[in-house]
Amino acid sequence: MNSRDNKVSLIEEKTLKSLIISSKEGDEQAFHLLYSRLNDPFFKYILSRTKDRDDATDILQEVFIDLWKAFQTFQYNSDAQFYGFTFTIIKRKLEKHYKRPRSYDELDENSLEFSYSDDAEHRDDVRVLMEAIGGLKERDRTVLELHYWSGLTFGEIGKMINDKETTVKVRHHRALKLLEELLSNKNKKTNKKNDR
Amino acid sequence: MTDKKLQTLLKSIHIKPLTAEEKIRAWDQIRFGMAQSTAAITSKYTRETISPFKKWAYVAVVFGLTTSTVFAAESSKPGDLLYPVDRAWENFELSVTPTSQQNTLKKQFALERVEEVRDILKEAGIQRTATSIKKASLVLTSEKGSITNTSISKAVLEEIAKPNIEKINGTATSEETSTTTATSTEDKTLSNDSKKRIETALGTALSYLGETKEEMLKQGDKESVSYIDFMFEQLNGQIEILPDDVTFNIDLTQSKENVGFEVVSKDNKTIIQATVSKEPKATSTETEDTEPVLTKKIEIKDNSLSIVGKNVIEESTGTKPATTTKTED
Repeated sequence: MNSRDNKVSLIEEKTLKSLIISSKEGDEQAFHLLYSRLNDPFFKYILSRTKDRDDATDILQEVFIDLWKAFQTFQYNSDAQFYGFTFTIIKRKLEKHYKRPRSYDELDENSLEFSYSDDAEHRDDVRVLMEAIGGLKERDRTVLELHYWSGLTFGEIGKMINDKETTVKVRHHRALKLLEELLSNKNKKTNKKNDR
Repeated sequence: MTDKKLQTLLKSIHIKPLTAEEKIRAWDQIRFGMAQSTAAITSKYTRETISPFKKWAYVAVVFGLTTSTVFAAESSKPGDLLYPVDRAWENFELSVTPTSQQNTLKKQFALERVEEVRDILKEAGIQRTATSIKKASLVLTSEKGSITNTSISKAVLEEIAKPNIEKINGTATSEETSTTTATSTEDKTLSNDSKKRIETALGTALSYLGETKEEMLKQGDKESVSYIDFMFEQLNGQIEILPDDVTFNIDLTQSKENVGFEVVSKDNKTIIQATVSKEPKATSTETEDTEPVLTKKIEIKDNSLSIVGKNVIEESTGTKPATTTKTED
């Protein structure tokens, strides 16, 4: 194993708890490792909400600055409590920036990547799906976004939104059923229009 | 649509993550925010121990000013009539602060100097924007020629993964430092007044940072020196976004005699740093083999710092800016 691999594994080995505690003591290196570990899922979730890459970057920065400030008083109890705490900061930041809910069709396609983007039918399906997700209940929608786009497991999502893992799974299942229903209704409407 | 097809469709959508360069830039901003927060918290005690009444009374007596004037002075910036009042208050605060707390306060003031420059640039319509960073064309020259955006990302990623403490701290900027400067000047011509304000603010900030660094080095306070160096980095970041079609002349005579400044090439960038009595002078990294990609020509001559924009040089010589390394003793 070379020195670079050593560093990578060192980052992986550091527990979230140790990084939080060191950061609380003013250790910038630990806080940077925390940032390295968490920026990706957080950014993707924020971007899915802001629809604007620059705004998402600004909010991500503010979230981490607020987290650093909050460490002055934050008392670590568990990873779940930390995730919940961080998610509250993210939600507050999003609320502050976007008081009006926006529909998914405003999401800049440049911010998305499709596995088979050349397929026109697929792109259309994605567009319809994005709109349908916007019509879901807030918590159900969050579960889908964090699972499929931020790449978090149901257990991790549970920690973020303060739900049991089983509850998150139920939410996921319910969200899929609702999406099916929404998409099916949409298809029916489109077919009726075409028939006329 | 079936459950399975729906899940496949959801999985086929990927939100583009931050690129390696964006991550570095974001961390740099976070670190600046952290510095602001840390300085504000640690100096809270010091600054709260003096009542506002005493503050107004002191400044009003010394300068024969009204309370409202002193209030106005608090938000003044270099070049403003009331700015000397603001600085006088800082000196007073320092004089009544226990020695053990003084460096904390000085770090707070150093941050204020950098923020003053940033605010004045912002007022003049000059600021680094996330949009322009995104749109900036990334061109890195090497022995083999220019490298594409994709390969830069890869190179930067590899750089981040290296076991380098500086990278973990987020202080080093790696290859991305040679990227095109991301500046928004909102297509406005810089007025003479704005230009003068920028020159004054930069001169004030450079002098303050240089003098403070010198004092902290004398005390052997390495942590505070490192903080001031970080402030120098921030200031160089502001200089980097100055318009390319203007020449700025900054008066350095307000600095103490034992504080000098030098312009060096580092990481393909021209930067200004302080040279103080107890610090070994930094060695220029410039060599004949590698020609840095520069967007500015920075020179020090007769206690004056000149920052010449790329367009000005191209207009006058028809060539791109050359690297210069001069030292002010």
